[in-house]
Amino acid sequence: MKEELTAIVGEKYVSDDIIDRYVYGSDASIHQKMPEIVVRPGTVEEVSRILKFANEKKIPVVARGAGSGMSGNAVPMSGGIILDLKRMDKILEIKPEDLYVRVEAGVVNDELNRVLKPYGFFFAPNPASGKICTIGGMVANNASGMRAVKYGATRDAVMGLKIVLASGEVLDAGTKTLIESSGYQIERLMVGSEGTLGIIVEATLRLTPLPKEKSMGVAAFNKLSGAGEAVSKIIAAGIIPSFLEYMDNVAIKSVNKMLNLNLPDVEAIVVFECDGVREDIDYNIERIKKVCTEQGATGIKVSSDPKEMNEIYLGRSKLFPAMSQYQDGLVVTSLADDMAVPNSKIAEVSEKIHEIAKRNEVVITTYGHAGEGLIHTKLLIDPTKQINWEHAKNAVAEIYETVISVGGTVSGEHGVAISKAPYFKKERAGLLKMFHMIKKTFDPNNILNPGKLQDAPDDFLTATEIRYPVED
Amino acid sequence: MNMPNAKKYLNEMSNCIRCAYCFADCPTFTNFMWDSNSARGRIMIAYGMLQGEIPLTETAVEREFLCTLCGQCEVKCSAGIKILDVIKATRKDLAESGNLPESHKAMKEVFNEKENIYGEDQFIPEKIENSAEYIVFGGCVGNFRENESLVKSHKLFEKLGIKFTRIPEVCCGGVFADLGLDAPEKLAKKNIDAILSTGIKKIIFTCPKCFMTFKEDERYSELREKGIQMQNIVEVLRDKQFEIKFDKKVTYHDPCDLGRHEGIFNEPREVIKKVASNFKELSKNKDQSHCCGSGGGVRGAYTKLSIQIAKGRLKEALDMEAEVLLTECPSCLHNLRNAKKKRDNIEIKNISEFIYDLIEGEK
Repeated sequence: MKEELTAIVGEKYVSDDIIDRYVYGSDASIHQKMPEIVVRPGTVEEVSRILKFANEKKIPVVARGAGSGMSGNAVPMSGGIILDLKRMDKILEIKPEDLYVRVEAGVVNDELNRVLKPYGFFFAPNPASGKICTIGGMVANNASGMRAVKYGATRDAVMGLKIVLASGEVLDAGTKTLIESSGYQIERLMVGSEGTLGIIVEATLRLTPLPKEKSMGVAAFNKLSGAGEAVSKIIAAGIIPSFLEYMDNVAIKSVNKMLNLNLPDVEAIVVFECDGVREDIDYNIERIKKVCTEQGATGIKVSSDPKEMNEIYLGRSKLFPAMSQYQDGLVVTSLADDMAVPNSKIAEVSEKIHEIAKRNEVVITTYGHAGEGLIHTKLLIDPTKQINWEHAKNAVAEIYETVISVGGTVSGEHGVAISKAPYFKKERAGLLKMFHMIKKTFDPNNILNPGKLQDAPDDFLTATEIRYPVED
Repeated sequence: MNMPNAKKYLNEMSNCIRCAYCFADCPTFTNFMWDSNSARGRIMIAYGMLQGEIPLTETAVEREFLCTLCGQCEVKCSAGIKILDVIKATRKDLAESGNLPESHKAMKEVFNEKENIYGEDQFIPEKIENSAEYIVFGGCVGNFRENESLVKSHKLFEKLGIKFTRIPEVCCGGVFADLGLDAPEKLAKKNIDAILSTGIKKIIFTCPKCFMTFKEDERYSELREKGIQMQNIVEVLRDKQFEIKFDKKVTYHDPCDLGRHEGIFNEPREVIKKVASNFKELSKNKDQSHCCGSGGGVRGAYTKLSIQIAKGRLKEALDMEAEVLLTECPSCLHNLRNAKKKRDNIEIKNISEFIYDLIEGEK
């Protein structure tokens, strides 16, 4: 295999060294499994030739960007080839007049926005991992981020994709037009397909004008339910902030400890941002303040100072990693981490999650893009004890049951992959047959990221090795 | 693999959530683009060897020793992982089992004969002025490779009326921990004895690495306990006035040891702005500053990479059309100058050297 792949991309970009295989066998999830080889193509043609070869030999291929996924999206369940696409990092076309940018899959989100800034535009989806996550990974997982409440998720910005099929065939799906009504929208199907249907090598993405100004605020609540109610009532009032987040007390404490932000030490805070022109911003901020006050906010701080706003933004965007400092001996695990529920159910579900945590003796934090009904949770456990993993598993099952019971979904933006697959299969039970048919049509030899989504094992804990040092 | 030093950091390794935020601006990751050449990769490799999940291999050793220890990853890591400590502990385990780059082995041998990193004859000043207010500690790179710049710093002190003396110096020993080696005890002892024998209570450091070592290393605690005041050269120059002005575009490269590691960001800028009216920041500055590639033993062991990283940093200054790139570290100065091509229209200087040249030019 190495010889064949080396002939395609060159010796410099292929490694079957155990050190590289080990490192590429992991991402930000709990899962770990080594590939047989890592290959880093630089062109669409190289990707096509690699897939043609892999398909003929029936070798699994798992596409990978930064490997920052939290559900095991880039962990190679069946070994095979890791296709690292970070070398494909060219911005191919910037067309403000047509409101699109065309990029290769390995372009990093923040780098794209740095280049777009002088044009007065940006690519709106902004996951917290924006400094390192690639466009290919964002499309494959339908990433969103804090500003999706106003600007939408990645799927809303994808106008077209260049895809390499399992056979090696290269397809252009979608258009460069802002609207289309021309048959099946394959590009939409590819969004969130997690590398199981084809390899995304290029994306044509919709541009959004950069807002002129913004203001940000933090509202403190002594009750989590008050924060949840405030969020759904803000949306119901017809206000569309540029982000609308909430954080519970575990999250607040973690961020304060790590970043010295001095956020109010209350049961929950709601963080909001409005952007646009000053008159609209001030009008909407006042309306948000009124709603928060009515829902029992004990204090509201609003700022238009760039430094202060950056600190608030940092607090939220670095919350996930910061939680690992919550308590010595506990580590943050990415389990049940991005459910979406109807906005009106946020408070109810968040409170139930805290009850589940107590019942199962695990520390759980809830926070998220409340404006989109997105609830992030993180389970903090001592990873060395097997019993803690069992507790975590029970808690996860109860959380998903709660989420599904209110009409929610197991993943809002991180994807299903391995960790969420057992519950995804319950949520989408009626669609599984069709999912299998779609997979078979695109990838008859099942080489593309096999063992994920509907094909993943029913027990996520035994699906792969666990990356933590479990002692017993 | 038996890794007693790295084992102390098992909790840190578990707390690394492998989010990959550390990829951003990592000098080795951006040069190689292999995930194993990042902080996440290095922590994983250390963990894998410690837990027996992967064997000790040449690649593992190389990945651990390729890091410049610039600390950019720790700025990016909100999980607060002590990444550099993990890497240094891992290097120590590797070095103790004989697994380290040849150049590091050679350095160990050099120290058996000479007491500086270049194997040069010991630095002995012509005269020791025990009545001086300050001792100036020059460091190996300043004494033996960027001496012209160091001499200009001395001359600037003289012009500013700063009374100082030099002492017979040996290497501060700071580089040893970076390489996974134990610094010979005699080094610190010799420096301490030389300093205390003068009776002088203040030291000016022209090398941020020496400055950091004297301030933080246990071996130099005696000096700290005896109240010896330690200042970096920029802290001294900040309080001085200069009767010269410079209007061409000037920028500043933050040395990792002075900036990220010691938190000295404002002082060099205050000094520069006293004389340069057209000071512009590099796009990556202060704690986000890109590395020059000289640290962590990389210049000695992986020279090509080291210069490649320096070229990248220099390009940032050239792209913004700066006419002078300043820094205040002999190692950064040395590497950036090595990266400069003849056709590159830029001067690279330490701040003190720059000011001295301006004063001389005025004449």
